[in-house]
Formats: sequence, C-alpha cells, structure tokens
Amino acid sequence: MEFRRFIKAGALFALPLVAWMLLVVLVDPFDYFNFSHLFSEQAKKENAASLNTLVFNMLKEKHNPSEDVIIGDSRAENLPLQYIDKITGRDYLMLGANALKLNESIELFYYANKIKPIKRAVFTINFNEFNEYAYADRVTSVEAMAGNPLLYMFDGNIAQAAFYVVKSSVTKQNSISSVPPMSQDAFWNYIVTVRGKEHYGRYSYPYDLYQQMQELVAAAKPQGTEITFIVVPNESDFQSQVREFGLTDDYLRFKRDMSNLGVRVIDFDYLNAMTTNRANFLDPLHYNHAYGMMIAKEVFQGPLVNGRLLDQSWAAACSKFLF
Amino acid sequence: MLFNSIHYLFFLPLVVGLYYLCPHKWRWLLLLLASYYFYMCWKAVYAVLLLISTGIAYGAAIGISRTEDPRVKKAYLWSALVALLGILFSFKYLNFATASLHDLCAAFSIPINIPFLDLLLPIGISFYTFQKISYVVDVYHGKLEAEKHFGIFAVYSCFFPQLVAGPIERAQHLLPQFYTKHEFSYDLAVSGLRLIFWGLFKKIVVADRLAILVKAVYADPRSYPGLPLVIATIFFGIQIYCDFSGYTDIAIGSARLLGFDLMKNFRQPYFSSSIPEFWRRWHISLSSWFRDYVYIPLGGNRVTKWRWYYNLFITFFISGLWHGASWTFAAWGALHGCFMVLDSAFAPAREWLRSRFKGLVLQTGFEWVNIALTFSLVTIAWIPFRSGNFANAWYIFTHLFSGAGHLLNFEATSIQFRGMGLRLPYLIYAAVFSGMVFLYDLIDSRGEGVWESLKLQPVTLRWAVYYVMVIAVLFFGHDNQAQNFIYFQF
Repeated sequence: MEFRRFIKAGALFALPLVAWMLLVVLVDPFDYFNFSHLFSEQAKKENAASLNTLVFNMLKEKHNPSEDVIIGDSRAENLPLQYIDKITGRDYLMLGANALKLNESIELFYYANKIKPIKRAVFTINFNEFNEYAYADRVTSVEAMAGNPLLYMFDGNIAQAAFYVVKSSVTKQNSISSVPPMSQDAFWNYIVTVRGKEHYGRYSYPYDLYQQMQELVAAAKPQGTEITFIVVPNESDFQSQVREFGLTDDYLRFKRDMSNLGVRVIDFDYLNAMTTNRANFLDPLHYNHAYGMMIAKEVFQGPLVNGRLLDQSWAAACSKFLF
Repeated sequence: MLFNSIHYLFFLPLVVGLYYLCPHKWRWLLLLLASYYFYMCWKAVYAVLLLISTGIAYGAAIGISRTEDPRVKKAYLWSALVALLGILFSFKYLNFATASLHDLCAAFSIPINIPFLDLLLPIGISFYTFQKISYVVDVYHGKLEAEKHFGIFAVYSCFFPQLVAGPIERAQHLLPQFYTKHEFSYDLAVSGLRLIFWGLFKKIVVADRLAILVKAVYADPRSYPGLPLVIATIFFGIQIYCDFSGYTDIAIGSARLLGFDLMKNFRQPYFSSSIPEFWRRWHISLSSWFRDYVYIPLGGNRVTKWRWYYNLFITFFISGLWHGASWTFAAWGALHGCFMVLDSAFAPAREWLRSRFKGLVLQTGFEWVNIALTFSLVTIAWIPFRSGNFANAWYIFTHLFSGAGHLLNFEATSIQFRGMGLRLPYLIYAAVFSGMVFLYDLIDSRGEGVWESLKLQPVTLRWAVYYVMVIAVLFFGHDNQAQNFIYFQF
C-alpha cells in the first residue's frame, strides 16, 4: 500500500519533467534527434545557432560529418563557406563558435576526426588566442551531450534555444538580436579598450597550448591530414594594443612559433593597406564579408597578395628581432 | 560507481525495489551482491582486498570471543591491527614512505635506491579499514559481541551507501540493523529521496561550480595575485563541505530508502564558535573514531597538561595523514593540532570574556566574532590541504593580500580572474546557492530542521522546493560529467 502510494506520488512528481522532455524532443532546437519538423529549420538556425554556435556546429558535424573542416572563433565564421566550397569543389564544414579558444579549437579537431577522419583542416588563429589565460572548456561538455540525450534535454542553453524557437515561430520575428546596444563608434572604442585589456591585460606564453598544437600537427601527419592555419587580421587599432600592453616580443614569438609548426601558415594580421582601413572591418576584431572573400580566395585558391606565408625563413627573421 | 552518475540513478531504484521484494532472510545476500557490484564497478580486482580485510576482522573477532585468555585475545587483536593497517600502509603509504626516505637520504647525501610500487589506491580503503578496526577493538574490549554470521558481517563491512567515503559506522549501530526486517515506509522513502537530492544539489550545483575556480587557481597559484587566491581558498572551504556533506547526505538518503539509519556526519560545522566545536561537527564519524581509538587510548585529557597537548597534537597529526599520503595533509592535521592546543590553552580566557558578555546585546556579536574567527582559521588550514606541495602552499600563504590596493579597480580586478574557464552566471549561481546552503545550515542549527518545517507547509510549496532542487541538479549536472567526490581519494 505504502509502496503503491510512493510510486503514484513519484509518477505524479515526474510528470512535468517527462512533459519537458517531450517538449524538447518536439522543438529540438539543435536538431539533436533530427526527426521532429514541427518548427522550421530557419527558425532553429536563426535562434539556436546564434545562441550557441558551438552546440549547433558540433551536432551538425555529428549528423553530417565532413572530411574538410574550418575551425576557429567567430572570425572563422566570417569566412564565406559557400564561396570556399565553390572554388575548392569540396564540402567544408564550419566548426566555428563565438569566442572559441585555441584549446577548444584543438579539441574540436579531435572530436571531428573521431567522427570522420579529416583530410583538410583549416584553423583560424590570432595572437589574442595565443595566451595561457585564453582558456575555456566547453567542448568536452558538448561532446558528452552529443552522446547522451538526457544531457541535451536538461541543458540551460537548449532550454533557452527551445524558448526562442517557439517564440520566433509564434511571433514570426527573430528573437535574438546581435546589434550592440551602442553607436558604432562607441562599440569600436569599447572593443579596442575593453576587449584589448581583456585579451592582452594578462598574458603568459602558452607553453602547453603550443605543445598541443605541435601534437596536433604530429597526429595529423600519419593520416595525411592537410593542416592550414590562417592568422586572421585585426584592424590596426586593435593591433596597436599589442604594443600598448608591451607584448611586441611575445607577438613576434607567436609568429616565429607559428612559422616553426611545419604546416602551411598564412598571416593576414600585420599592418597593411587592408588592416589600416576601417571600412574593411565590422569592428576591430571582425573583418567584413568582402575582406573575408579576399582571404578565402588567397588561402583556398591563391595567389597570396595580402596574406604572407609564415615559413622557416620567417622564423629566422623573427628570431633575429627577438634575441 | 559514483553517486552522481547515471549508473547510480538506475542502480539504486533497482536495489531498493529488489530489496523489498526479496524475503527477509535473503536480503543480506542481495545487499552483499549489490555492494560488491557497486565496488567492483571501480576496479574489480580490489574487491579481493575488501574481502581479505573482511575475513581478517571477522576471524580476529571470532577468535577473541572464543577465548578467555587475555594474552590470546591480545594476540588476535594485534594480529588483526597489524594485518589491517599493513594493508592500508602498503597501498596508501608505502610509496609515500619510500619517497620521504629518498628525500631524507638525499638531504644527507646518502645513496639509496628503493623502488616505488605501481599501486592504485583502493577506493575507500581508509574508511573500511577504520570501520573494521573499530569493530575488532570493540569486540576486544567487550563492548560488542562478535558477529557469527559471516555474510551479515561482510555486508556490514561493505554496505554500499557508506562503503567508499563513510560515515564510518560503528558495528553497535549498523550491524543489528541487518537483522531488522525493514518494511517499506512512504515517509522514510520520501525523506531519503529528499536527502539524496539535497546531497546532489550540494555536490553538483554548489561544489562542482566552485571547483572550477578552485582548480584553476590551485593548479597554478603563482599566476594569480591575492584576491583570486583568497576567493579560491574560501571557495575550497565551501566546496569541500558541500562535496563531502553532499556525499554523506546521499549515503544516508540511500540507506534510508532501504530502511537503514546511518549516523549524522556533519552538523553545520561552519557555524562553530571554536576549533574543538568545529571538530565535533565536521566529519563526526572520523573525529569520534580518532577520539575513541587514538586520543583516549593515549590518555586523553586525564594526564598532565603538556602530555594532554601532545595527545591533542598527535591525534590531529595522524588524522591529517589519514586523509592522504602527503606531508601537506600532515601539515593540515598539524595546523589543526596547534589550533586545538592553543584553544585549550586560551579556553579559560575566552570563557571569562563570554561570561562578561552574557546577557548583553554584545553576546551575539561576540559569538559571531568567534564563528568568523573559527571559519578563518579552518579556511587558512585548507591551504596546505589543497595545495599539493609546500612551495605552492607557502606562496598562497604569503600572497593572500598581494594586490589589495587594486581591489576597487573593477576592470583590473576582473582581469585577475582571466584564464579559469569561468562562466560568470555559473559563478553567480554558485555564490547564491552557497548562500542557500549556509542559510539551510543556519535554520537547521536553530530549530527543528528545514525539512521538518517544510513538512508542515502546503504540498504546493513543498513540491515547488523539490522541483527547484531537482531542476537545478538536472540542469547543472549537465556540466558535471560525474566528477569524483573529494573524499574518494582518501
């Protein structure tokens, strides 16, 4: 009798939780289960993807793995994927995510490689990621979620995304705005000063990270994976922050170490006609679509015009300045 | 198997269901099999060690009970103690002793080459060894009859809710419960579940969130100035409390679902107004074990003053080493030993002060000052406990107040926390939920208890509270890929 009462109360208590699980399965904002089409793909992409690109892209990789990937932070996402596919005749998968850190980029490579061996991996990188303190740890938990539906159903991001997908489907309006709540000039200054301090105010050479990069290159070689690093450009205002924070030597060291990696490294992040022109940038850290097209053309088709190859000769030149 | 794993989520209801379906005379066997399965999920081969130590304690106790000759009794006792402590020493302290010997010889330039053994520390060995020692000693002193039924004794020795991290149950309390026929009780089951979820809440929502910052700072303390060091140290104090008391709550709750009553292991320790009081409220089963089997046999306080201080110090020093095979744990124990000695020395002065404030408004203030002081001392003592080595511990001790001049510069302060993989909202949740835990403890220490008060509330309010707890556990558990409990390593 007591046992039956307990089971009854337990079932009643669990009811809302079961209802929630059903709701998540039906809305499925990140196409985890990939069978419910109650809500449009567009609504999911506009809401879920903008809310958490990492989850969106990692789950996309799980469902539709590709042997060619582009990995990096929001600047990687600024590369025109369709254009790249067109000029290369391949099907690149974007594994970018907002504010992705270098350690996470490396983890993403292994994640994707586990699902399907990678033939070509293009990483975007910048000195502001090459810092011991530029660290985050999100990939592991998303990877665990990819393998466990319970984790998907009880995740704050998924709940939020589900809410926005439903809301935008009902109101027919995109719920997530990416427009900063300030004028363009104020936002520009905010990025240079506040973000500059965040990126360079606390710097330490990332020995572990560089070792992980070397290990990645070593692991890629036997399986014939072609690795490319694009040192993505920052606008000159942001580039000057490196000097402001007294990190010129560390910056050179970064370029030298990239040159020594033994893979194709193409550098766009130096003072040139493109990076000194604000019009080429959405903000000091993000190049615009046209500039992205130019970078993509140089990297994937050639020849290099603005981009320069960082190779052994470059490493030797850097070493002269450093020591 | 971890309490905070999905594995346990299926294991526990299955065991509970089978337990009540099983005839009473076979329940011990079911619990024995379930407990060994629980243990073997970690590393199956070490179940043999558990079985051997069970056999040693069982055999020694039977031997003691069958003879009247005090010398033979003593021989059984000492054989059991040497064997049990020998196993513990071999698996937990041998490499530590070898390393210490190497360091000592190196200091005097004496060449020595003792090989290190590649042994994995068996989970829960310190807990189940101490439980068996207390059993044999109690049988020797005639406080307890030796258990004749090997199966019942074996299940007492490995009862899964308390096997790997306590509470270190005394046989007088737990053993008879295996003979009691437990009927399923709705109220008991609900209160068990409540405790389990409260324990999971403390572990997953609070402790594991605080752990992010603690882990980052303590992994590389030299990269951080004073404020992160102070916050990480305070956070660790809260983390270890929520982690361990959370574990204990899940253990007690799980046992309660089966109709068993395990002892209380924590009684709002951070509201203690002195170090001795802290030890009467923190890890009660271990502190009472040390009191009964180390401190009192050494003479307790019924000796000269200096001998008493020595007894206090040595008890805490050993307690430190019990926690881990490292001098940093010993230092933590030694620090508490010193605090205990100082407290004993200054207790009359404090009592005199307390009597001066008695009846005045200032009395409450005086108590809170004592609580804050005790919390600070306990927190400072956590530094060597968490540091891993003396160099880091010393760095933290000496840099706790470095960079204090920049505290008001928000930007500069926030940059100090860079590189920890922190997510600000989670940190805020952790701080808020830590506050909830303290509030819970405060209410619990002043009245009947939070759950008892909640029982009197309407069902809607009760369920709302339960939902908050369950939802927080489910949603925060996402980022917690079944992290180990801190005390598992001991």
